[in-house]
Amino acid sequence: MSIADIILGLVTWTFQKLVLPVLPTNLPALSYSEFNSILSGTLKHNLIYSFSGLSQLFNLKLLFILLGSIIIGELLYWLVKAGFFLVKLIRG
Amino acid sequence: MLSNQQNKLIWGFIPRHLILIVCIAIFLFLGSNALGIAHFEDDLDSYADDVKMDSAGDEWTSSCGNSRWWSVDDKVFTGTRAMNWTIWREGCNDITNTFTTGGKTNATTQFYMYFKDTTGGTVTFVFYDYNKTHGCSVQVDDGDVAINSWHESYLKTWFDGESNFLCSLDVGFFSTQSTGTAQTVSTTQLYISGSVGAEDEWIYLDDFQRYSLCDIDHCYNCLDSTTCEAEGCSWYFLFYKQIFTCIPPPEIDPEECGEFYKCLYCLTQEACEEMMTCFWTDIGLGDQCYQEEPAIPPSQVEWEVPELEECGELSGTEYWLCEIKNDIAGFFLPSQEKVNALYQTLGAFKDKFPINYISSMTSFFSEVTESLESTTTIPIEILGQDSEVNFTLWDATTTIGGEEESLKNILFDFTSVLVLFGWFTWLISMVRRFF
Repeated sequence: MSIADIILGLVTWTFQKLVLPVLPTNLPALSYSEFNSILSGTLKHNLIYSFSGLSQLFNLKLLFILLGSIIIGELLYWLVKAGFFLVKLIRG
Repeated sequence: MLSNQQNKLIWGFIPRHLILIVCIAIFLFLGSNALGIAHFEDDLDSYADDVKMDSAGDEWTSSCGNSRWWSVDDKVFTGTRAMNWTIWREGCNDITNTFTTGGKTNATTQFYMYFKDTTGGTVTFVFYDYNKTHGCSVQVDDGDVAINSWHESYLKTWFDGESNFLCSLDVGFFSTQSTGTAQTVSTTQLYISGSVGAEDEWIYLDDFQRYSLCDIDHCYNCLDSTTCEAEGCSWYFLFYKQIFTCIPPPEIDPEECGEFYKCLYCLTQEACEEMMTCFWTDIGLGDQCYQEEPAIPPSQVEWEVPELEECGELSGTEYWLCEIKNDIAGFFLPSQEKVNALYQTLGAFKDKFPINYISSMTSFFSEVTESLESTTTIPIEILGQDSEVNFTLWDATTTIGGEEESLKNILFDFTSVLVLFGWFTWLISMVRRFF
């Protein structure tokens, strides 16, 4: 048995016995199947139906990437501010 | 009691984060239709009495402006109003009333239907999807159900285990199902039309509502494996949609000679040996037909351990150097079995949170991106006439810097620059806010 076998065996055992059993498959409030069906079903078609007409005028791929980056940026900023806000609230 | 400073923090929070709230509201609005599982809900009680359904609410329209569905109070299932079909009020000969349902794929709507003294009554429900050219229709006749009584009814749309969009109608004990035309993927409008045989015959519909009871007769309303299987349904994976769904339990196959587990029903050696997966033998219980053990294919692993160099063709110093190199490499190289085990262990993470949710989101974004890249038309309606915006002007070309450029490309680049400029403005303000 090589050193690589020992290391791989240890890594595999760690993942199988310590990590995988802890990770859940579904979130308590929203199961994976419900999440996937919402995304890949009506939400996708709703988005396509709502924005497909704009494809003649705008680069929708660029628009959505930039819009997504704005939302993520604002969300991160909000999370940081919320953290500071909670600290101030607790301290009084 | 909060201090003045705490009050200022709380009430100053919302205005400063208005843009985030607006963005979230937009996405919730777009996604709100995706979260409901009824095609639409309307108890009809909010409308005035004796009102044409095409003016009864923003969601109700009629195919010719004069509806034959009317809001009435003479016969209701529940509440104060129902809608009834009549032929004696003025209107066109073939009327469909349409309710805008938004983009629903898997949805169930419960309602109640009544055929009053009808001798040729029919009600037809047609679901059209967002491009209005593909749909699914179902129909019920008064001969299918008892007349002069209210029937609990269900309209349902869903994807089957292949790639078909289906719709079904259940009225009392009557049930019918239909397959949608090709490329139907969701519903945005429900067309309802009816017919009766004489002026004193009526059809009533009432109380459209979301139906979500999960039981053996309504497996499609069960949203997770626990409740699905608890009700006796089957939790099934739709390969086409890559989602799990709850379906009625499969019918038990008749006990007759066949392949695999059905080998035990083969009573003669000839019938047994005709099956590819069966064999006839006596294991101490007399001659019987048994299923052959299937050959398990080797696991497909992308990671292959490199083989050691062949030293047999070498001689002298090269041979010994090759052998030493192989010995050192063999000390550090893993075996294929360990690599396979690691590969399968890492593969198990794909079904665990958050990997499965993230992969679902990435496939959603890539599918939306691919769909949005294809150009479509913009439908418009002027004075009741449907048409599409004409973009032929977009193909007009001009010469810029010696290159031929179409108006569409010029406008496209212009709007892209505007969008990028707006985004850079936001980026600068974001950086300034942080620092």
